[in-house]
Amino acid sequence: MTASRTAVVADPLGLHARPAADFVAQARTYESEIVLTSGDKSGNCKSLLGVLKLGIATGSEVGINATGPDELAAVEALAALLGREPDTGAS
Amino acid sequence: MIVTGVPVSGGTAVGRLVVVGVQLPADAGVDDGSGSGTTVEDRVARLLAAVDTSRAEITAIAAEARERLGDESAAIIELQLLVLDDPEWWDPILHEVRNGSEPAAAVWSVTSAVAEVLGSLEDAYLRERSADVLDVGQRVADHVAGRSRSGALRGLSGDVVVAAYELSPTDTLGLDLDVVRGIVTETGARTSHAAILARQLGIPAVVGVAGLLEAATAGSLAVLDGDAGSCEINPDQHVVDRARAKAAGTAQRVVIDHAVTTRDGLEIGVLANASSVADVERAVAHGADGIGLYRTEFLFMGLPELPDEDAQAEHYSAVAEAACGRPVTFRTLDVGGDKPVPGLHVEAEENPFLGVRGIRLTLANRTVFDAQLRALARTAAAYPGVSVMIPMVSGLEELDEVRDVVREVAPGGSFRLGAMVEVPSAALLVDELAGEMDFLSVGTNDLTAYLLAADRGNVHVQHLYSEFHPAVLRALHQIRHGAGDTPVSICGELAGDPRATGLLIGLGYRQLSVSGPLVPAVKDRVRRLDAVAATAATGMVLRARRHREVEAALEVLLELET
Repeated sequence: MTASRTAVVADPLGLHARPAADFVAQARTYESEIVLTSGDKSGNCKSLLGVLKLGIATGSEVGINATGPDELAAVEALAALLGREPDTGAS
Repeated sequence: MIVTGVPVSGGTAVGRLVVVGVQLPADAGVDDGSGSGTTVEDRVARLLAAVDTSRAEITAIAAEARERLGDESAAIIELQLLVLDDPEWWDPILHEVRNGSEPAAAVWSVTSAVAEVLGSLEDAYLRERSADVLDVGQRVADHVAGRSRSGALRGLSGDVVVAAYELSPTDTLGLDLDVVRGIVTETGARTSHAAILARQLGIPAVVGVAGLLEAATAGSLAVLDGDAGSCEINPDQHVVDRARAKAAGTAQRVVIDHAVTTRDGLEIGVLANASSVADVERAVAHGADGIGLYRTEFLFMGLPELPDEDAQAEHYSAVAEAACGRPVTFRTLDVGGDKPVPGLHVEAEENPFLGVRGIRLTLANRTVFDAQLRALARTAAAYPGVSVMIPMVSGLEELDEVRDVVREVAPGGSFRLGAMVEVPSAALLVDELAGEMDFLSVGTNDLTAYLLAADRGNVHVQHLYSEFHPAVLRALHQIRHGAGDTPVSICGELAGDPRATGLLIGLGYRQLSVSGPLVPAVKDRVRRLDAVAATAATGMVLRARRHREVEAALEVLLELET
């Protein structure tokens, strides 16, 4: 099983070093394997370098996929940390 | 000849060049002293030991950065700890070593590969993170090989301008501020962490200077202009004279005994926050107009038991003496369940930030509070500039009680008495507090946390924490307005943020107390500002309804100022 969420990066600077560090610290609190995807690139959420090298800008839509015992909690929390849900047209 | 680059930290510097050449990644792996007879296990063990040593060093550097420059600078260094734990860095290194590579060579090949990936990103800011990775890799490789490479920057004397191919964040923090007058590097950008730290340290710096190392000869005289982004090597005498006068003018201006004024002649006091006698000495050297916040708890935390009245009086006198006649505001013991003090029992609390701390704790421990107030009264009797400030005040009742205690233990006490405004209730009651106190001081860090109910140390909510939140700025406006004629200073991190200087002056604040090394930068900022224009522009910031609107208004304000 894998849990997935998409999120739109809300930080005006994109996923820069400090928010990325917080994101990685948060990801490391989960047991599941967690992967961040942006466009055609993907990186390990528990690796600062893995996240930084994706070069994620503000407003980009990213995917978070987790596999493991706490996969649902992991994707929920990490998507919330990154920012807002993608705009689906609902108010 | 003149070389030019990107100005990243303002000011003028004159000094002899110390040149730090290119440090090729390849040279690290040539001989790491391991010999060929060692086993894979030996090498892995040596690698692990090097990582542990590096981790301890980086942790210590981050702690020092926090003490000297604040959380932002510490976070820059702490980023490096995440690299040490990063599977994308560590796993391939271990793999290479297990397959027979020398550890130092493995560290370098992986580090430079990672740095290259980051260095090729589109985002200019993220590209600069390659320097942080190289800083860590360098440190670990050096420890594996038993080498030290920052030797060129140690034991310097005279006035020095450091000319380097690149300068790492930790190299920058390690510079001897008594001799290093300026920095010029071939690599780097405005968003390099080394550049940010140079600004924090107040060292003039120019980065991204193509061809620097070809032009720079060790020992040559150089004039660096950190505002224009140029560095003249072997300049004419008149250039040197003019630059020396400018640099000396800066130096002289920062030690003069009175406050700087804005362009239109408004005097602004720029004071320093301090926690030790050494801090006070450094603050005076940086030209602080006084100590706006002396944190007495560090005396208590550094001793095995509670200091008695005599020991405290001796310490406070040493602080006042070190301030050389400048005013010193001592904050009474500000601890809580989360900051234990030896000899003072505080019960564990579910929620220490809403528990017994600051004045709540000292009023509940009268022996401790009485001894501190007596010691401060004795100090004030000998040093006229001494004031006493009460932390965590939430209402008039506490101030009534404090004044009763002061009358009882230090009758005729000659110090001015003030209160910190950091609890929202104190901000709402500011007119009442101002009526009772000689002065007020806004602790913007705690005020922001309490107003927004967000702990910036908590990763889940720290995005909510901002001293530029519209609610915080409106509170600052109301506090200054409500306090009327009573002096109000700002002593949180916001006071040291040059982006906020114009805003705070525009809001009516006339005293800023900042981290010691930031004093010259804030004074410089004050001198460039026009108070009338800043006041006029402040309305725009106060009308901002959302955080990003504040940011946009600040941008406009900053453009107006320059």
